[in-house]
Amino acid sequence: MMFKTLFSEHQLFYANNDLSYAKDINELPDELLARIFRYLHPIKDELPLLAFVCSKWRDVLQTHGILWRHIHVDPNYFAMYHFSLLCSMFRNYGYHIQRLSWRESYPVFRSVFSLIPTLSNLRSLRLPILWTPEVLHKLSTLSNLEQVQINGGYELTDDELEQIMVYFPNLREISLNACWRITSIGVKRLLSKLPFLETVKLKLNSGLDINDRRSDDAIARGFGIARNIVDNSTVHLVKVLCIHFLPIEVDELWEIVNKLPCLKKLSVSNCEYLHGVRLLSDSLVKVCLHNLWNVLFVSLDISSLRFLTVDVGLASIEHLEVTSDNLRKVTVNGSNVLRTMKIKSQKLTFLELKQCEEIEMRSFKRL
Amino acid sequence: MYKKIVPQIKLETYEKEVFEIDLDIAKKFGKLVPVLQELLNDDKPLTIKTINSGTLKKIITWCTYHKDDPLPPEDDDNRMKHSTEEVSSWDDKFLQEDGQAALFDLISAAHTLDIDGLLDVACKVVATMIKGKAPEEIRKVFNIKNDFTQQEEDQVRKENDWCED
Repeated sequence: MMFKTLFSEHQLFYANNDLSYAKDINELPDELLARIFRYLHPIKDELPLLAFVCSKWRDVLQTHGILWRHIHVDPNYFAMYHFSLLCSMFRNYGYHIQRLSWRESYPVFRSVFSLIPTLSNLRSLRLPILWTPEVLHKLSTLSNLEQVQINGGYELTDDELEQIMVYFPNLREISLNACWRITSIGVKRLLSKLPFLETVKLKLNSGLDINDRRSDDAIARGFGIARNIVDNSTVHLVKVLCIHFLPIEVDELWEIVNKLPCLKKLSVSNCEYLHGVRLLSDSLVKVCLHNLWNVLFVSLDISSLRFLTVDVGLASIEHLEVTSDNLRKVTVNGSNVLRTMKIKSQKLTFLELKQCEEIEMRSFKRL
Repeated sequence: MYKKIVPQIKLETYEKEVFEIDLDIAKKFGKLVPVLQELLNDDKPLTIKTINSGTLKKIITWCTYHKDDPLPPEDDDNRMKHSTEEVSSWDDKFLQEDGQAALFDLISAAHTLDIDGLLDVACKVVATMIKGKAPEEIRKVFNIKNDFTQQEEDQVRKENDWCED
């Protein structure tokens, strides 16, 4: 039956008996020309320049949105004129751009930023900028946004979280990074009011400088968010949690992780009241610990865990114990105090130990 | 001595030349996959009037050389990532040795038969020919006529003021 339908009377493409012989590049159909252009990087290879070649190429650039759909800006290899090219690209092909990301730690020039609100079909935005109330207001035109990373939102308050709900009602994923002034009430409202939300990444107090006069309030608010997030009916939305400078204790961390059933990534740092890390989870994939000066032991029973990093600053750690069926990569900085280590995993392929001079040899027999 | 019997299908080209193709190779022709079993059971060749013998021969050679390659990733993003790998020197030589006309014909045919791996690598070879060249050079390399009116050319220039800097 299918044979008859697809290949009428044993002739492939029976309706067109002409030989599809393309002897010039411009005899190729537009979709194939676009497929060739897809191998050129929009910025690095100066794709817009091809509009000068002929009207067919110009049409292909204008009508094939796939060429412009994902733009990642890496100014590492940029000359100054590349920023002008980017502005020109935003003006001419901006309606095709759906995902815009920018390499971290590289400035977004004002001239480029001013055009971002015109990218009306943008679905995903990731820029290394400070999110002020003014920035939020300027980007309010991006009502189709589904994924946004809010970096350095030091000045944002619960009022701005309310505005986020209004400006970007279609959000599926939001990352709140270093938003020191927001509270648990604002976060709860945000999580419950966005109808399509699937993923929340909370990076509490990241970048906080302990000498900053705002730090005491930020610590208190961040602690409130961490404790109250688990009492919300939207706990399943939290996929990433980074805890920095929170006065959290062993049992509190245990309880928070226990009550977040979909948490994939956990990062804990600079929490001085933490004297140990004991976690049980079925969802965590990645755990990073660093600068936990008073932690004496780390004990993880996480069947889903794949990556564990115990980084610098665990200056008191004596024992590390991990049970996971899926653990693949472990990096440990033992601060020259780690004595025993027990890793149970059938899939471990990478183990890196640094500053583990005190470690007992029996630790390796158990691997 | 036993001779291994390899299942084959028959394809007839524009010039009515019949090619017998091993099943393993034919499996790379995405368009034929749904009907391979029926073609195996049928002695009559499948006519592909849109492809000439030289191009089909070239396609068979390419598919034979790459018959053990892993399948390209299915989703678009990963396929493009996968495809940014360098074109092997064998592919580069094979695809360019017969000139541009043969290359574009091959791209057309690979598209018609839905041979993803060949289409990817051939498009990438053409993209490499474009890369780093000014529009005038591109026109020269591919023998493209500048068909813009003065007004259109002014408009393109206006849209791309970044090149004037």
